[in-house]
Amino acid sequence: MPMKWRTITKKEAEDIFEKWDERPTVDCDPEFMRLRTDLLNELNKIRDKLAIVPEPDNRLGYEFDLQFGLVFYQVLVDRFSFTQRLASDDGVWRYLSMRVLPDIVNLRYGLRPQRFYGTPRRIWLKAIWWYIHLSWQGNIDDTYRILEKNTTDDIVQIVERPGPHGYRVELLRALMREYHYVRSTHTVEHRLLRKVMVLNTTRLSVIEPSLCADGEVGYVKELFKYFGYSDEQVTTGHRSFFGLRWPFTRVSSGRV
Amino acid sequence: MSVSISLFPVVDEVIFQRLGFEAGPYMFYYTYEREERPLEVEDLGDGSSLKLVDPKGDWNPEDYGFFVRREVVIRHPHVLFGPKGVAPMGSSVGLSMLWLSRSSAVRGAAPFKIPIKNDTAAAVRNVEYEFPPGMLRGEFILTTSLFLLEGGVRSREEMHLAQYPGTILGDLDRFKIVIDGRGSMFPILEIREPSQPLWRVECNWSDPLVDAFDTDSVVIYLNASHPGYKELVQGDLKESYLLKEVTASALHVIIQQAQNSEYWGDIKDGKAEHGSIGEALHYFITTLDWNTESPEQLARSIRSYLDRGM
Repeated sequence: MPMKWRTITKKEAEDIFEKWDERPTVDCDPEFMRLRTDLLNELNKIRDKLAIVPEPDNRLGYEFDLQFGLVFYQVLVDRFSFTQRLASDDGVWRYLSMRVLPDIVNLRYGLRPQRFYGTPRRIWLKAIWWYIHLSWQGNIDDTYRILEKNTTDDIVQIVERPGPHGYRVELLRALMREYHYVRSTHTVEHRLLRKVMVLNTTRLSVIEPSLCADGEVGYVKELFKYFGYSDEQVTTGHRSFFGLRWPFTRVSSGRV
Repeated sequence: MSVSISLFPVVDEVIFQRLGFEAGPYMFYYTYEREERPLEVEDLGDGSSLKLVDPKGDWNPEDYGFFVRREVVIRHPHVLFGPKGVAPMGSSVGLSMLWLSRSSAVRGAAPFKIPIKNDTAAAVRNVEYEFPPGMLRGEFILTTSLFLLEGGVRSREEMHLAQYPGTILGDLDRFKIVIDGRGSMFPILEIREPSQPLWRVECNWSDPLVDAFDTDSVVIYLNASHPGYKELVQGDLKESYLLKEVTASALHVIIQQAQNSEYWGDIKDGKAEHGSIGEALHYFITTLDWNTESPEQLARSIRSYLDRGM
């Protein structure tokens, strides 16, 4: 029996939030209890693994975002047939944040309204779901491997730049894989991902990466090469990319 | 067709006219128990907004995917090539169907099958693409675009032309396809409240730079119980001057409400998020040229815009 996903409006979320007193209250449709139980079980495993001490001021960080994000993504998608279509509906995220899993959001961020419902791109459950979705490498282990060295700023760089017409999913998956590869073969500069994403935004105004000669993978390699992170073995076969530098340098300088 | 400022030539009005672009209709299908069934396309009024409807009533975008097919003809492909065109003589150009969906938060591209070469014979090209179940929500845009497929060798006279494969060389046409509801029209709802006014507007946003331009945050209520309601919705809605008058007054209230807030500076500077109220208002005052200097000029410029066609 497929789950009937529920939504709430921003106004409803606001009203619920105002009634909370120090702690959020779980108040969901019985159908969602199975999802909640599954996630609480996973959460306990993560707690043991990360040795989280339940103290009031103990704020969790990126490692928790990643560990919980991965199981959250997999439980939703595999066990509850959650789709990308649902993930684009802020009402669904507000319901999950306010009714089903408010204690977990609270554990990560405390009672900050923007992480529950206030700022659409900052809703924590939504942000970590999309972060994993846009980095997904086919399975949980490979995805963990390419993301384990990242930071919360990298989540922001990927998730908070949807572009005016939506994410290019395959492009971002290739980009995250390359980012991991570059970092494991070079010493990289501070906030490299941010710089790459800014350059990417500029180039996307004229180029559609999936229509490039070498597709998204070739396009992404060229982005990192612009900042000096190239792989000689890879570049020898890709001479045609040299032409790319010229038309864009002037556009991107000063912004990067 | 849309053109933005570019560092290299793209298809402009002149090239577009000479190209002889003949657009076939988009055809939509879905599979039901291994049987292919057509989806009907309903025109939402402006000729470029379409709604998908299943005549059998089984299809919905959550449980079913769908296919889209299209055939287009370019009568004079040679116009694209050479120093006065958009691509070098020896290059090949691709056609692509770009699909963009802000409401689903995703986008992609589907190339047509055969590339276009410098040829005097007409090019007939086809595309087919499958959207899997549970991917799209709300609406999406389909744009047929030309792109550089293989750069080839550029002659001395062709050095100004695009050379990098994947470069978009211009859009040929653009349609909006609505799959849920009626599309992101203006946030108007109908209510029944006897002995209340014909309409009212509510601004429920907390942060106009972020909150979506939808009925959650801003809504115009039309009261179907009011005696004047009949006149409001009589005949063709686009021709209803009373509806225009209501819309104009409501927009005036909405803009003034935003003007009186701390967010107005950022809205004017275009700093609002995509899809937000702030972005919509920024669009009204910059692209549609509404004058917010004084209430008189605002009232006048909104009405002048609506009279030109809403």
